[in-house]
Amino acid sequence: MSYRFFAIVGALTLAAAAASAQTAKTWTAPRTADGQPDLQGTWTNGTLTPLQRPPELAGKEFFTEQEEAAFEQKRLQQNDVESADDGKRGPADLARRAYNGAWFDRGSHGVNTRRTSLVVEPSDGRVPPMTPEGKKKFDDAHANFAAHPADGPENRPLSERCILFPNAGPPMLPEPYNNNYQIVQSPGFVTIMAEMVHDVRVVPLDGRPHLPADIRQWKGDSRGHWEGATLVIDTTNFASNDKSRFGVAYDGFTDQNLHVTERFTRTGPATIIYRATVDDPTIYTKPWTIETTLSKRAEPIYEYACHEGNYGMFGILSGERAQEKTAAAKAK
Amino acid sequence: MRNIILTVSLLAAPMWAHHAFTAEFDGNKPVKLRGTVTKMEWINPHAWIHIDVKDADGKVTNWMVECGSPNTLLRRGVTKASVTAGMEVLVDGYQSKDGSNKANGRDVTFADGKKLFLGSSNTGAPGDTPEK
Repeated sequence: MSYRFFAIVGALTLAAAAASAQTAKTWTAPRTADGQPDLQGTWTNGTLTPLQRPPELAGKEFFTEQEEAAFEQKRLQQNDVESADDGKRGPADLARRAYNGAWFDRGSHGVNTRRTSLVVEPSDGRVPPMTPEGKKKFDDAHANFAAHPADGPENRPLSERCILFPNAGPPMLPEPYNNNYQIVQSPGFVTIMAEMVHDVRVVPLDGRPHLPADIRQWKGDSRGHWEGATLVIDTTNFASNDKSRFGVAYDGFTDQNLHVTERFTRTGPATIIYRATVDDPTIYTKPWTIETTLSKRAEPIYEYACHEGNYGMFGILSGERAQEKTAAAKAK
Repeated sequence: MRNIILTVSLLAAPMWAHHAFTAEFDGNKPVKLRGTVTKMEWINPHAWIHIDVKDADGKVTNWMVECGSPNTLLRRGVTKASVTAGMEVLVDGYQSKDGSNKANGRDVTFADGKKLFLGSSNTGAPGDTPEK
């Protein structure tokens, strides 16, 4: 074993260490062939972090590493209802016992930033109060839903009708499962496909104006541009009905004045930081902003042809008819 | 801090969840069904298992049991080979509100005691361990 051999091994080791340190320090976002920051691939925003900061954590914006680990463990146990199952069955406990944890796919971690909520503005981590007009619209919608839960499919939420899931947004919010996206870029466009329910947003980057105000769409009308390495998407022209577009995360409300501004910033090979500001001045007293992480997935997204076998809608409507029949028989 | 974390309440009942359980199934009708698989439908938005259930008099009734999203099941390693015709299963769930022979499949257990949809803390799926 010669001195020369050790010298070569030593030099190679040093070179490898230097290269590795350099990679960590100087990582720059890759570019597409036409020079855009490259956001392409399959991503997930599944997370254990709740949309709003629970009241018990008031004033606490971030977990420590230890607290985060304890929170994740607790949340997984809550999700994994099976582990807490004591065999009791009944209406009082349905939210906890109707499904076991295998129905859900929220991942195993909170957001990378260790924030205690997805809402980052206002700083209390809560969706701001509604305006009096917003509250009235919200209450009216709930009263209408309570009085007409299933006269027809139109009474049901957009997701049950396979029209729109909160995953697609905007804002793109995680749901209990299938929180996956594919981003594809071509010259002048960014396209975002949500696995639920194959909702695709084709976002032009050429500075064209929004559609005329009388054209309304479930996902609104998106226009994008780059600010440095950050993709900024501005969305207006939302269609509105009396249902929340925020899914299980938050039973909220928006109307035709909704304006969403999203910011996608790739911060590493496998991470995009996603921020979205929800501004609806008729409904909310001030705008609110969420921040989540999009983590890269190795596998493709799968088909989610929601209408294919939506037996659930049939079951909901026939269940309601059966209840009406029972009520009518009792009234006689 | 620990106490605070442990009391965080996160599983609020959503009023407008997808296929809201209470709209489709009856919380007053828990069912336990032992039967033989006749087929499994791998369809969106939810998979359905069909089973033949024999009552005490030997009369056979076919039940449909709602399962999770096929995409989630697939990511958890459940494939077409996991549930095949002829398998005996025990279903623990709730009957549909319209009184038909449909139930949600909270738990599906095989004859050997293994649970098909046993809750799992870590799916091991790609993306399940995002970088910190």
